[in-house]
Amino acid sequence: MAKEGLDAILAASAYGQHIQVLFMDEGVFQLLRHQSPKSLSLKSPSNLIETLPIYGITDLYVCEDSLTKRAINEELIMPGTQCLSKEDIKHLIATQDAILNF
Amino acid sequence: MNEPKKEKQTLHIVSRSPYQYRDIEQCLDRACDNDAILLTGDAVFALLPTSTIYHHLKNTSIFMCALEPEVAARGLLEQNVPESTINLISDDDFVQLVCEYSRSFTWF
Repeated sequence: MAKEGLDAILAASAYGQHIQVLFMDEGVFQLLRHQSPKSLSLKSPSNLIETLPIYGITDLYVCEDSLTKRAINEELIMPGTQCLSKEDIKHLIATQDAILNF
Repeated sequence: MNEPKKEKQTLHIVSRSPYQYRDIEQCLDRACDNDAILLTGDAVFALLPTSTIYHHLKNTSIFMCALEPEVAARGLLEQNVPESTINLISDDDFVQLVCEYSRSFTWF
């Protein structure tokens, strides 16, 4: 996702859409704290993601299974994200009007 | 084309090859019983009985379909794609499915 996804989120929020963001599979790595991609001349995605609540996007979810499979402890990811089980994710998907995947 | 189940939910669209990506497994993992999964592009290679994902497709209760022109384009119609596993649909059927389901989810 990274940049393209964040751009889409911010663009949609500018039109007053109610946005929920789910991080799953490889996407969960973006939530890792202490990323320092400076030497690659890039910005840390987690820093950008942390700014989302400022734009009114507070529903940030992460797939519990994806974290477990990658041995990522919840303490290693940025705070403010809510862990969802497989069943929770099914329900989340089923309650959306539209879905964008990045 | 067989009628999908009632109470239509999400239409999952998968287009990448199961030999390179795990889209189909990830999708199957998060699809509800009354969802549908449409295979298009290189994802239709999942229909080969030798593919790693084939047994998952065979055993799921989710409505599975594949775009017939994509399957034909890759020469898979001659490769014993079992019609009992999958519903082969036309481009027009694809449009109809998108309209019938409450939402679509494109995996990539």
